[in-house]
Amino acid sequence: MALILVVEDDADNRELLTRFLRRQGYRVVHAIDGLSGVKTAAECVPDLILMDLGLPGLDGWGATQRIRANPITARIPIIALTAHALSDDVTRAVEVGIDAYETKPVVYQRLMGKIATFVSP
Amino acid sequence: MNLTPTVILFCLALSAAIAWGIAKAIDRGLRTRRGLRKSEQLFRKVFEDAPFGMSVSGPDRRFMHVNAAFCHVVGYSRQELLGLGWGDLTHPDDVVPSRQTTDQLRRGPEGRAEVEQRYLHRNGAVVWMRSRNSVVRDSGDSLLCHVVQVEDITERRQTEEALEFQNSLIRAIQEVSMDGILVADAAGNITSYTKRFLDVWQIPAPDIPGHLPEYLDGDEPQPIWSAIIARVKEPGAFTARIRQLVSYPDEKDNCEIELKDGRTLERYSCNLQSGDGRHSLGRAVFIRDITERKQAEEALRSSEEKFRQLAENIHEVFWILSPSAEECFFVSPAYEPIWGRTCDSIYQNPLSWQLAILPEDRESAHAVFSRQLLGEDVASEYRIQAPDGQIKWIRDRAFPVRDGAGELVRIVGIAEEITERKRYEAELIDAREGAEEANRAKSVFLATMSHELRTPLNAILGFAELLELEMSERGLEEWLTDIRKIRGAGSHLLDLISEVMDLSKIEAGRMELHPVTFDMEALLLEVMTSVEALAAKNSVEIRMSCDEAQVSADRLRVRQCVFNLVGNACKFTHDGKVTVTGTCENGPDGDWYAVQVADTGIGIGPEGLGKLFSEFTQLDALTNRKYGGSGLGLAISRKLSRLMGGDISVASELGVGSAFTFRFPASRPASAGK
Repeated sequence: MALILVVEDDADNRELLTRFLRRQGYRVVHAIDGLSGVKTAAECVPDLILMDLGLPGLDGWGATQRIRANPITARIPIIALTAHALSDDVTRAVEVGIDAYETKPVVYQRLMGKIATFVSP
Repeated sequence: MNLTPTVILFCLALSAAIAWGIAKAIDRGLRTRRGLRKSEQLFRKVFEDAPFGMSVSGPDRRFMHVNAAFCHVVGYSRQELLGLGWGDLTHPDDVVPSRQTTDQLRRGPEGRAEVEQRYLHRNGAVVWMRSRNSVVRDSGDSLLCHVVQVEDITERRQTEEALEFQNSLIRAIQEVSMDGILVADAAGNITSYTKRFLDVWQIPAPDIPGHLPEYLDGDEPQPIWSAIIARVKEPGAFTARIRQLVSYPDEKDNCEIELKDGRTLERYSCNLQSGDGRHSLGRAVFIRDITERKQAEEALRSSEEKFRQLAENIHEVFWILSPSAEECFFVSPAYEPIWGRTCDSIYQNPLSWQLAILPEDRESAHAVFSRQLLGEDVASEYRIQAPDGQIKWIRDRAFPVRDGAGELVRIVGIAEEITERKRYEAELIDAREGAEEANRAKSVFLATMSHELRTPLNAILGFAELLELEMSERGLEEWLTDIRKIRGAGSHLLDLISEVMDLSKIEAGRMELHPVTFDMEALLLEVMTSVEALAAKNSVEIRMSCDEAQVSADRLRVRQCVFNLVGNACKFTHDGKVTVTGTCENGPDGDWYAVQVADTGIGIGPEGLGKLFSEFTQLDALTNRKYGGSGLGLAISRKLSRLMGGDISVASELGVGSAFTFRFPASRPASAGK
């Protein structure tokens, strides 16, 4: 079963993502900030990462950069979740190496479709 | 040679006697040699000693006898003259008349002639002589000789010529003079006047027959006097003055005369003194029309008066300085209450106003003043301290005044007290800073609130979606309607929050544009997809056609505007058509892209069009309930389009439909910020 890392600081959002993913049959691991997200990614080497960009401390862009810098995690697909639909945010995210993005509020069934293009449960 | 009348008479008598004597002597012939000798001696003596020139010449006009006086007049010796004739002495120009005289004399019965003509002195000088000629004939009436008596009148002729010259000069002056000239004799009678004199008085020349003199106190009609008196405004005073001038010829006369027709004449007259200065010959009167000059003077006086009233009554200090600031030409009285110093102090020391300037402002005020002296048009603001200790703000502006050649001739300026204005400005700056601070706080609050509101809302929406999904899977259809309503209301709330956010960002000047290059057709297709569901719900047929173009603009905001227009069109149209047209426009002001969205919807009336783009406006409460929406969409779209340098315009007819056109610059990087 494919493993997905959810890096999200908001508990409700984390729970929602988790429940939708599990319904689809994915395994889920969590991280609540950027630093732990980088760490967990290296430890678990998930099949896909859902990365919130607006994280406290090390933000989503910084975390993505570090994940890409580590050869073990460099090739893991990352889908960014952003509250700011401004093109600047997305442009920066693409620059640091995300594969796709989804704007908040998340429409979960649409997100599931997007994930399915990268990994199957 | 000055001959008194007595001498002249004597000479005439003598010459007659001589002529007579010679003739008698010859007539008597040679009665007695002795008598003849005696007689000859006597006449020779008389002839020789005569005080005027005499000559006896033969029929050939050659000299036979000349006396000493004659030799003196023509400058030749007797011996020289005896070899010459009259023809040798005659002035070349007078040769012809001279011969004619001689011929006349010879043929005529009179035997006498008196002529004035020119001869040449031995030294070449022209000598004017009056000559009395007589001829002596023998008994057979043959010509024996000419007896000519001459008088040197050169000096008299020269005087006459000088006089003639002076007369012509006077005539010339009279002709060209702008003044009318009149000459009166010592009794005040008019003896002559120029045509110009009549012109100045505007007396028609035909009215004046020209019989002169015209008497001051005559019984005859006096046309010139009558015409003048008829024109003068105060004839009594005028006439009295004329009589006074006649009585006191030495009196100077220079006055202005007002006429009934409104004109003003100036009269200048002076006494004409006799050569010895003892008595008056009369008076020369000069008249000129000074109406225009008087009017100009009056205009100037009036203008000066206005200037003075202005300068003395304005609350600003009006000043005029020489270019070097060495002299103050004028400072208005407002200086005294403002500076608390006298205007005199400025006239005495044109720089004394600077003494009142506060030390900390002095340097900058001096710097500006120096530039003013160089002719710059500059303003300065400084503070002064009045003697009572009051601090006042002054705004001082200077303007160079240059003459036609561009030379700086004066500096004029206005200094005004702006203490009140300064206070007001300071208050205004405080108020503005306060407002800006409040606005910043509002923006921060809105940003925070928006985040805080959105986070739980996202959770609400998320869980509602999850519930809907699970209920649907478990076949709990009766709950699904409610849960969908929760999702719909939540989505609407989220849109509202986003729109309020956008609007407050734009209004706070914090909306930033991020231009990128993108494909316009792709964007339009994307919007078409987004509104498909709504269009289908309202039975709206959407058609889209566009020019392909890569444009440079903020994609997100362009999309927001297009989406808003197309969304509205679908929302307010039922069973109709929405046509979206994208057009490239390449003009002299750059490349533009225009998106027109035309619908066959409900349309908007004239009153509605006016407030269409205002915030929180939907045309009425009913519309709002029926169609939903925040009423912010169009307001935001228009503000965004203007932020991009473009605009949104609309044409609409109630019940027929609307056409919105969104135009934006397609090749310029949009300016960031406000």
